Amino acid sequence: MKKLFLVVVLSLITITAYGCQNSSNVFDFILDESYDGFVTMATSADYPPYENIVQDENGKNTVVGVDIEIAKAIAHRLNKNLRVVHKGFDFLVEDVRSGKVDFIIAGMTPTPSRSEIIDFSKSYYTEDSVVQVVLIHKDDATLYQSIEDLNQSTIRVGAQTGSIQAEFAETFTPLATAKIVQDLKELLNNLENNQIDALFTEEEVANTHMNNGYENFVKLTLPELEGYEGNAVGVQKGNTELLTIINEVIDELLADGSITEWLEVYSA
Amino acid sequence: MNTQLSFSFLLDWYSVSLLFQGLMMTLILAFLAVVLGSILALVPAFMRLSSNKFLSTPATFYVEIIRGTPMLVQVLLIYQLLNIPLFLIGGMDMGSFIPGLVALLINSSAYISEIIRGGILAVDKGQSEAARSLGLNSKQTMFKIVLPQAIKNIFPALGNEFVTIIKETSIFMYLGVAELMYQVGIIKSSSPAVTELYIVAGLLYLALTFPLSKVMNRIERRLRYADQR
Repeated sequence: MKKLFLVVVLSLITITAYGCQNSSNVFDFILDESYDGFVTMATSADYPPYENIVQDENGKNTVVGVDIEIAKAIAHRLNKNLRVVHKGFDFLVEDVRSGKVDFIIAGMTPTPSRSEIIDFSKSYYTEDSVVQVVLIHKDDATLYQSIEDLNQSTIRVGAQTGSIQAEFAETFTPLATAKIVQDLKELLNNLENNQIDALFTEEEVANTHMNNGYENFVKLTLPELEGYEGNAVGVQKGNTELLTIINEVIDELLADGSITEWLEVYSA
Repeated sequence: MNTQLSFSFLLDWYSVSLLFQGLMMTLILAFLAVVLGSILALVPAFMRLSSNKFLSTPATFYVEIIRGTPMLVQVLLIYQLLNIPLFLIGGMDMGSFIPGLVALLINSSAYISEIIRGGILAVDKGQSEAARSLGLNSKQTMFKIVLPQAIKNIFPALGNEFVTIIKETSIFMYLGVAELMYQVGIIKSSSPAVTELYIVAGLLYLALTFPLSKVMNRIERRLRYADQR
């Protein structure tokens, strides 16, 4: 009994020692040795292809995705290294408001209530690059051929809390019962298990997951909706200096097609 | 419900190491909360036991407020109120670790103070009466007669509190403290095996709490030894 206990304790210590590097929610990117200091970005890294935590070649956790590439471009412009902080989505706005971090990129849509607290850049995903879709189960594909077929009181639709898709669910399927949760993975699983019938999300996100384990889904493309503002970078209220630089960087990235390219790379 | 469960992520050394690190962090957090919380808890416990209204009323308020509000609300509020800037110690973001730990300490100290108070009150009144009639003053009675007996009542309940705290640390995933549920979140975002991951997470929590309550039972039995006649 004592020996067993010792073995358990020793193996736990070894495992902890092996990978203590992975108990951090802060990820540093040294972009250039000559850069001085860090610019800090907050994100909620559970949303591939935009941001996601993966293992790098050294077995350490790192964060990758389109939003991270954009952040790197911004950091390069500021001549600073990049520090990414991963937290729950609910904390991001508060962190940038209180100045804990310099900016947020987290696939965040500038809603009026958020815009009261922080300032947003222009959208870095234009309507051409982001198509809104509804995911349904393959078996239901003949049953639901358009978005109108989903607007019934017997249908349960899912969307993420605070997302633009939650509003779409309201607009397109007002008769259906909406299940609004924070966790996209939860929703995907619900759809897989027939706990919901349809899931509102955006195409790149849908592609990423369909390429990585959720083969049983099909997409229905949503008609374009007026007033959709896309995703933007959030900065502290009144920080126009940083906002101008970010807007410049976004303009360039959109113009040279980098963002479209990154979307393809990370959703593969 | 998925008919087929696939636990293949358990064969991946990376996922397993993440889970174990999460488990260690959970254990460390819970341990800090119970040990430091017990020390802190002495203050409201004795304040509530005091006959002075100015001491007992605020302590009662404190305990009732903390016990009557959800941990999640406390964590969110303390995170906002403390507003600690982001700085790193050992690669960990103290700006979210410290508010998290403070919230956990406040929470556990309120519960433990009730455990201590209950333990002290449960000691038979005849004991302190006998001590006083033998000429011990009130301080001596408390520390030499009542407290040693109270510890017997307090200790098992403290073990239960440890078990509760282990489970409650799961709230810290939102703050970005790398405990078990945070690591589950990381694995979850790149693996479709969500149900399986939750099962494993549950089992890992159980692996922490079950032996712990067994150990506590044992200690409790040993402490009860003197009571057997």
